[in-house]
Amino acid sequence: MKRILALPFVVLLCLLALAACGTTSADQKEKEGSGEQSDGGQPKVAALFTQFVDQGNWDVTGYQAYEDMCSTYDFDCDYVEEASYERAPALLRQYAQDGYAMVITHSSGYAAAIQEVAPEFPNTQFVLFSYATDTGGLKNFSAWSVDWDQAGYLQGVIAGLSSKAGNISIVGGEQIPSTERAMALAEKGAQSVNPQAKVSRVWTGTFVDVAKAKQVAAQAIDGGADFVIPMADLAGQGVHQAAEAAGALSLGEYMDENSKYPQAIVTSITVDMAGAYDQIGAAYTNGELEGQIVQMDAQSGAFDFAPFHNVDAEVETAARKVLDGLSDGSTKVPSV
Amino acid sequence: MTQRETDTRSGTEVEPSRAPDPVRGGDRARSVERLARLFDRPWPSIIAAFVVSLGIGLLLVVLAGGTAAEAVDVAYRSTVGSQQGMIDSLVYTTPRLLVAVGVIVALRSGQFNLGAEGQLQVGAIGAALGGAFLAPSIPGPLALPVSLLLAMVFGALWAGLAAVLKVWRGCDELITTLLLNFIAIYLVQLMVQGAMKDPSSTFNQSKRVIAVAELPRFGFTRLHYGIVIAVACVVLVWFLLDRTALGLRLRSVGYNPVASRYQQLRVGRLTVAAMLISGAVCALAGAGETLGVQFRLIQGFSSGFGFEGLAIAFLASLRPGRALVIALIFGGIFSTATRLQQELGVTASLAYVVEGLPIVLLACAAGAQALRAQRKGIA
Amino acid sequence: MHNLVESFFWASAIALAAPILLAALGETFAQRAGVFTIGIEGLMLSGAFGAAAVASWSGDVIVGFAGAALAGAVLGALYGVAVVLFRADQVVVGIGFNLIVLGATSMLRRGLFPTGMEVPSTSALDRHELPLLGDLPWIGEVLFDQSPIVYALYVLTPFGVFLLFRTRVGLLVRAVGDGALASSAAGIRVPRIRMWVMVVNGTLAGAAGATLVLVNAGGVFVDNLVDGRGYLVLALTMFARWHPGWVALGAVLFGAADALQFIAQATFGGHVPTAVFLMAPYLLALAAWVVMGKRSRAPSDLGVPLLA
Repeated sequence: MKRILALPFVVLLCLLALAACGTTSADQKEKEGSGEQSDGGQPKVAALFTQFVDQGNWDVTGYQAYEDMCSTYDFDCDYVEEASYERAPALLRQYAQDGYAMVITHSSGYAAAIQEVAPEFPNTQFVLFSYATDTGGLKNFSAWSVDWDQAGYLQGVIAGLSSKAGNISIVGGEQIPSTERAMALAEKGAQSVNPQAKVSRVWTGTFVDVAKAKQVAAQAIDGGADFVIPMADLAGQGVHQAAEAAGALSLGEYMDENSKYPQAIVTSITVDMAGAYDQIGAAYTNGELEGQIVQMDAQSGAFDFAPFHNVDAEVETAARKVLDGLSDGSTKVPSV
Repeated sequence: MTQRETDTRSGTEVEPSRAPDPVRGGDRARSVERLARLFDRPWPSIIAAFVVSLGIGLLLVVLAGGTAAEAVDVAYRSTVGSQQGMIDSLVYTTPRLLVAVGVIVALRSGQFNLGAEGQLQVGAIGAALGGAFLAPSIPGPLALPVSLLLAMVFGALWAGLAAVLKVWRGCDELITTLLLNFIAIYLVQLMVQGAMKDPSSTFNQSKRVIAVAELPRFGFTRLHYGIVIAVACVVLVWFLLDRTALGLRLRSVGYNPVASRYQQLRVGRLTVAAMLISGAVCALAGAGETLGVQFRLIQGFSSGFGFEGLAIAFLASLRPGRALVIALIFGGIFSTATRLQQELGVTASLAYVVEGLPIVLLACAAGAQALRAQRKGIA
Repeated sequence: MHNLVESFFWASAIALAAPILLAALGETFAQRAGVFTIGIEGLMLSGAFGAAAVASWSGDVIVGFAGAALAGAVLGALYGVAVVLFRADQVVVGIGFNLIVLGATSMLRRGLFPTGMEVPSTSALDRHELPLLGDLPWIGEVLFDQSPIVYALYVLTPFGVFLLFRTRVGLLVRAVGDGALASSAAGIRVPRIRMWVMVVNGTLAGAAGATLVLVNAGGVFVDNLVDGRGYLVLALTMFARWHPGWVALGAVLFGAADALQFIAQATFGGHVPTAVFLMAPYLLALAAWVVMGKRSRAPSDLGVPLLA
């Protein structure tokens, strides 16, 4: 019995030895290559994402914008996916200690970690993208804050215009403050174009559980809703699926998602992350990062609509009118 | 084995009046006893298990596009090879070690406490309640002890709930504690979204813990005194289990609850006591994260180290001293995985594979050994 | 609260029950034979990953489903090697196994699908109304407008009851769980039976994971997709007293608790915090566990390796 047990150990060790030998030569080359790169004098930049850069919409759009920034401004770029809040302080510290010039975090949940770490590393710029109202007076903590109030209002307007039954359901992921406000404003937005519109709000409690979002949306549609608004990032895929299966309409987030669910998605409210990251890159390069909060709203051109599908042309015209009103300041979102 | 089985059967007949028998289902009691055999894993086999699993980890790094030399270099730098590496490893070690020591108390007493995750979550609630809400209105020097104490009380009650349900209703604590984990996680959500939410924050988190309630840190590093508390717990738990009368009683309940009853031990009370202590220690893990790392109650602060702590306890053969060593290794693995992801783009989930493998290997070895011993005995 | 009698509510409850029931049926047999599978969480997760991976390679969800069941069977067998042949402690192995699968599926997803998974249309597994039966009022909408997997469960569950209580196989399984040593002495090959049970358990858990990812999540695999549902399965199996019929009933109740989240939030939303609804299924399981605790009698060798 003992010998039988020992056998797999021995086999594994042999395999490992082989693997180690086999890679040594490739190893050397790799090392030289990377050595040259970091000696190239480019500023080292890192980004933290809460989920995956290849799934859903929030991180996918953000990552695209980040990559573009990296090539435009010639940064030496790294990123970490699934950067849990447990690890965030350590990750930020490690990057700062490794001499990274800038660390960008792609979620409002990292604010606490940045506020702890940033004071210790004045030579590293920390940038938060998403939503922030306060950067603690730190010179090296800047934020690009999207006006989710306006985004929510616009989502509501489109839903109100598109819904024939006047029955709209909003499916939220994690109940975070920015989404809570966006939901409240979506209701106002829908009622601004259809005073009779009935709007229900549901939370699934997670940004990743596609199954839960799908089921909740299906129930909402069965309850009479003919338009569902996902505010659940990755889990929003489930909302689109439910809408497509039941012949209801939905709305894409952050990027044009129509190709994934062509029967369901009316349009997508795009957030100009590419523009924002470009600003971040420029601000860093010009030494203009000094603890500011940059508002991203309709006035700054942060929002746009992807091409419309599945609805009459009047919807687009009316929705664009509201967006234009927000842009030139003639329309204001109501207070909630 | 047969002897023991008759014991169990007749044991339930000793006191037929006590219907909700806390040790009902001699099955669990006996499986704790088998766990006792894990105690005897010699160091060489533990080292062998780790070598194999680290080897597989290395192989995975290579398959994921890294190279072995790079991986070894990263592992060195993120553990003993640099000051930052050592600090990170120790910071990651702290909660895992506390959980491991906490569950050791329960396991040695025959209680399958799989609820460490839940206990540390409510512990974090208690710590935040103390550090952010009560601390401003109590004298400064008391802020930290009160916060820690609150965390321990919360954790103890959470674990105690499972124990009481076991004694009162005969509910297997294994399932109860598993379910309580999820309830605790949503309880934290409930707190940071409602009662304890910082109104000025743009995320679901409580107010910041005030400065006097923070765990002090070593110099200017991020290493907090949680590691000292954890090591102290190692010593205290060892002393409790191996050097006190209570510890002897707890262990005898764990080893053989039926015989313990013959010796007129109050099995029900000891069950509750074991879980209370276990929950209190596990809760310190949550308190450490809240008062020493995040400084506020924040949703999702634990990436499931409740189960990693259990894994450590098993690998350590349920000995507190060994748990210290294994927890340090786990801290190093986690630190390495985090850095591997940064530098080589290898997913940090690698850590779970490397941590899970040795447990399975050792459990197999222990089981096979027990079988061999049994067969020899019969022959 | 008129919503509670609506057909769609119960149809959702049944759809949500499907993955839990599939896994719990396997777990029932495993526990009857004395194997306590904490690793069911990991088995389900590997099935979910297997389904998404095979479906996106083959371009066919049915093949994906079969792949998941196969992956589950293989891992169930490996798990069996550890707990049945090596007599490893079942709880310890389960904890380790879950950690390994969580890490491995995440690594494999990144390694094998660097540009993301392309899961084909899952319409084959979506709802298909049965002819005639589907036309029945209410009942038809609830029971007979479901995924083919649910229809399979209508057959599998009674078959499970029959197999467990009316056949020699069931008798052997129960004997092994209720007195492994005695069975062994009587000439029953305990390890062999437990191994087979673990293969079945793995297959069903794999299928449950596949259902979760292909039907409930429409083909989107994310890391840790199972997210604790495996632990619900364990609780369900035990408080349903190891009877497939009770397991089915309990699974539907869980499904209803899950489906209730929408109705409850739509009704009380704003007054009651969301987290309360989200913890509801677990509170329900705990309540059931407390109520059933005293009365249930476990197979006496549950969790005990055969040392003979």
